[in-house]
This record gives sequence, C-alpha cells and structure tokens, in this order.
Amino acid sequence: MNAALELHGLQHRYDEHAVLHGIDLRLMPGDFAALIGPNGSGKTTLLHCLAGLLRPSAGRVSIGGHDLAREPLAARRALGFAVDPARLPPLLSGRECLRLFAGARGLDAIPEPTLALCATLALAPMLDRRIGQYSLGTRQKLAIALGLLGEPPLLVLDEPLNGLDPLSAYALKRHLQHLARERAVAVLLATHSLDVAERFITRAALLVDGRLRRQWDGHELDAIRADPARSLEQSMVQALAGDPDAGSAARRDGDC
Amino acid sequence: MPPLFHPWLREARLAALRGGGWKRGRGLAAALGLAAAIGLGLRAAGGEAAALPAALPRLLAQLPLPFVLLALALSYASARARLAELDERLRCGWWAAAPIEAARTTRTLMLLATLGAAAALSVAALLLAAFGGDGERSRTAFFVLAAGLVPGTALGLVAALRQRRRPVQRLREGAREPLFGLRWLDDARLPHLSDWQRREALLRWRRGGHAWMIGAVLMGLPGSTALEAGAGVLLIATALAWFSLLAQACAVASVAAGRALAATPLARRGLRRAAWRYPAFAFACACVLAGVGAALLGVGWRAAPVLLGAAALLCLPAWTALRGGRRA
Repeated sequence: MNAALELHGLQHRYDEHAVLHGIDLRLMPGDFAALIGPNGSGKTTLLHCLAGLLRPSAGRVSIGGHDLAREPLAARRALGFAVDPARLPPLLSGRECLRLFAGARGLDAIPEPTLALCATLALAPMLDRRIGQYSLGTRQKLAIALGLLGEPPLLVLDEPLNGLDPLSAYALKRHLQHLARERAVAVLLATHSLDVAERFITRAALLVDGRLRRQWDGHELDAIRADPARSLEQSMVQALAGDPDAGSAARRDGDC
Repeated sequence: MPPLFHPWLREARLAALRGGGWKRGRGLAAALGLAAAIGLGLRAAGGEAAALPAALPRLLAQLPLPFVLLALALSYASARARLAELDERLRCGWWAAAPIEAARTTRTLMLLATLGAAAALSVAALLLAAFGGDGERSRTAFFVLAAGLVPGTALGLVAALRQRRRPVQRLREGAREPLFGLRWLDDARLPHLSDWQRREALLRWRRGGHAWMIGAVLMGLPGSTALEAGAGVLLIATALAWFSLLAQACAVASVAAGRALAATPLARRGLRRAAWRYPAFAFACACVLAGVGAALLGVGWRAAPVLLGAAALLCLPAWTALRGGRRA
C-alpha cells in the first residue's frame, strides 16, 4: 500500500536561516497524526512545504506515491489543505467559493458530504453571505470545508481549531476521526491543543528547532491515555527538557 | 476538453460584478475620462485653444523614441507588478490548495496580458481621437504608443513568469544601517518610525522604485545636450523620482505604524508629528539636489514652482495612501 505522505530529508531555509533540518516522516492511510511543538519550531513551514506553497531547499515530498516536485498535479489531487482563512476572497459568498473549488477538483457541484460538514459546523446558514461579512471562526470553518472538499486521501490542517466555538471544534475533531477510521484518510494537523491531540489522534510528532525530536505511536499514546498520572503534555515537556528516554522513539527511522 | 484557464477568472468576474475591480481602477478611469473630456472641450471651444489638444499627437510623432521608451517602461512596470502579484496570489492564496496545472495559470496570465495590452491600445486610440489633429500624425502617434505598449507588456509578462521560478525571499530585508546616524530625526515617543520609513524607502528604491522616471527623462534628452545641462537634468530627475518614491514609502510606513499603535494611548497628532520628520528632511535633501541640477542647467529660481508642482503631482499616490490608511 502506498504511504499517504512521505517526507525524506526535507529541508527548508529562508535565506541563510535554516528552518527545517532533514525531516523524515511517513503517514499511512488512516493515520490521524498531530504535529506539535513550540512556537517557531517550523510546523507551519513544514505544512507549507508539503502543500506546495513553499519549495523545499532539499529533500523529497511524496503524496499518495506522487512526488510533489515531479508530479505536482497528481500529488495535489491527493491532498486537502486548509488555506489561511484571511486569504479567502471577501466579495464571494461561501457557496460560490465552494462551487469554484469543487470545479477545480473536477466536480460538477458541491459534494453532499461537504454540505453535510457545513451543516455540522453550523456554517450552512452563512453560506450565501459574502465572506467579507464572516467572523474569523466562520472563515476558519469555510477554509476547513474547502480543504476537506472531495475527501482527498491526505488532509493537512494548520491549527484548525483556532477560532472555532467548542461545539464546532468538537464536531470537527469527531469528523476528522471518522474520516481517518472509516474512510482511511490520513490526517496531519499542527496543533497546540495537546488535550485534543491526546484524545483523538493515533500518532504524534514533536518538532523542535526544525528537527523531529520525539515521536509517539499508537501504543505509546494508548499507554498515556490508560495512565491517569501521565499525559502527552508531560511527555512533551520531558522531551523538550532533553529526557534521554523521551528521545529514543525519535531515533527510529521512518514511521512515527 | 480540459479547461484552458484558471478558475480565478470566474472569481474575478463575480468580484467585478460586485464592484471589486471598479474600486481599484476608478482613479485611472476618471483621469483618462478627464483627459478625453479636456481634449474634446478645448476642441469644441474653438479659437486658439482648439489647436492645443492636437499638439500631443504632433509631439508624439515628432519625438517617437522617448515616447516609445516611456510607454515601454510604463507598460512593463505595470504588467510585471500586476501579473507577478496575481501569480503569487494564485500560488499562495486560497487557490493554493486546488489541483490546478501551472500551465493553466500561465495561460491565464498570458490572456490577461493580451487583454491588458488591447485595452491600453484602445484607450490610446480613443484619447488620440479625442485630441484630434491631422489623421496621419494621429496614426503615427498611435503606432509610437503601440511600439512601446505591446513589447512592454510582453516583457512584463516574461518577467512575472521568471519571478515564479525564484523562491520567495522572506527574511532578507537588505536595508543596512544609514551612512550617518539619523537619531536626531527620531521623535522621543516613536524612536523607530523614521528608521522604518527609511528602510521602506530604501527597499523600494532597490527594487527598481521609480528608476523608470530617470530612464525616461534621460532617453528623452537630445544627443546634442551639453554635459552640464545633461547632468543638471539627471540630478533634477533623480531628486524628483527619489522624493516621490520616498513619500510613498513614508506614507505606507506611517499608515502601518498607525495601525500597529491603534490600541495605544498615543495621540494621532503625536504620530503625525513624528511621521513628518523624515520626509521633511528628505525634502530638504531633494531640494538641494534639484537646486544643484537647476544651477547646472542654468534655469535659476524661475524653475522652482514648476519643480514643486511636478513633485506635488508625483506625490499624489502618497496622499492617496495616507487618506486610504486613515479611512481604513
């Protein structure tokens, strides 16, 4: 089976300032992974590199078996990426935006699951209003709906819960979990909400100064969940403090 | 048959129907309409004034090279800036996540460049028709403008497409420390505003800024111009181009500073007072430069009102930016 996402030695630098130092990461279909790390650790840069918004300085990004540099179109067809909500066109309505995006994905109309998701996120009543009238949270919901449109096999979301009300945030988490479990969609989300990461995800990776410092697989996360005295937050703090045991998992090659 | 163009065209159509495009282009449209109306009005007035509009096509026909170069520089700068900005918006904006071939984006940019050149030629033809005059001269004047507009737009398109291949530079600002300290320009409550303005102006100047103004003036100089007079023209053109660019940069930096400090108890008057220091100093420097140029050219004080008028005209975009910033 093809990996949903493979990163090999991914590096990125802004001028002389290196932000990512050889990231290796592999996500299989059905993985629900969180990318965690302190501010400025390179999470957004990493997501932008694999979404094709930034060109990596070195290394390879492969999405659904398609090299992003050599087969950009096939790779992008397999990718759903929630764009920055501030960049949505203010003069268009949410429905027009979704319709245009559906057309770009080769669909005749807005797919039913996307409309259902809009209803779940309480976005449906706003769809015919101009985006310029949306609140930050509503824009975020629309950006997520656009990213999920057409259910691509890999979803990449950068802080998707920012600005969402608790009900919508919960609905989104359940929806992503459902997509990963039932539809074998691989989900990679960058988040600071460790409680979310701990309760919903199946894998986690800690990015520090552009390097993957620590990775947790499903068994480790299950063990953390089963022990009330432990938490992902605590484990992350230990990894950040340079706990030698904490780093052991990161030295494993490839899969997280 | 797969679609040829980027679906952004549909987005642009929807936005235009809601007034999005008109708001941005209304200043230019108003200026062109006014120029045509003045031409028609003068012709209708009769007498000596009726001959004035026809002087423009005659001038274009008599001095083809400078006007070809001016049209080329203007159309190149405009096409490059607009197409590169759109290309980046399509690659990094909300369309970034859509699976769209790069070729469709390229074809869309080519279509827009073609439409832009056609629109510019149509406007030129309409203006020349409004200005009237000898038919043969008007035709020659049109060809002079077309000889600059078409290759300028094509070169702008090529430059915008070349820009795509270069990675976006985000961190390198490139503005170094000034040659001499300008701390005395700093307001006590806003000690970094003048440096912000200086850096913004320096970056714009390095990116090519208003170099086309200097180029166009130099190209327009007859070959027989004396060295001193040529140097004088160069100094005046540099002073005007530099100061107009600096005024725009200062306006942008001041508006940005105003927004950044909107939640602080700093009075608007205080910000305004601090924002005037650097441009006022730059104006004095530009006056010295232009004064030396005028002395070399031998025009004396009589040229001052003309130069000040030209500077005020070139600084209009800065006023617009300031007013837009206040309204936002």
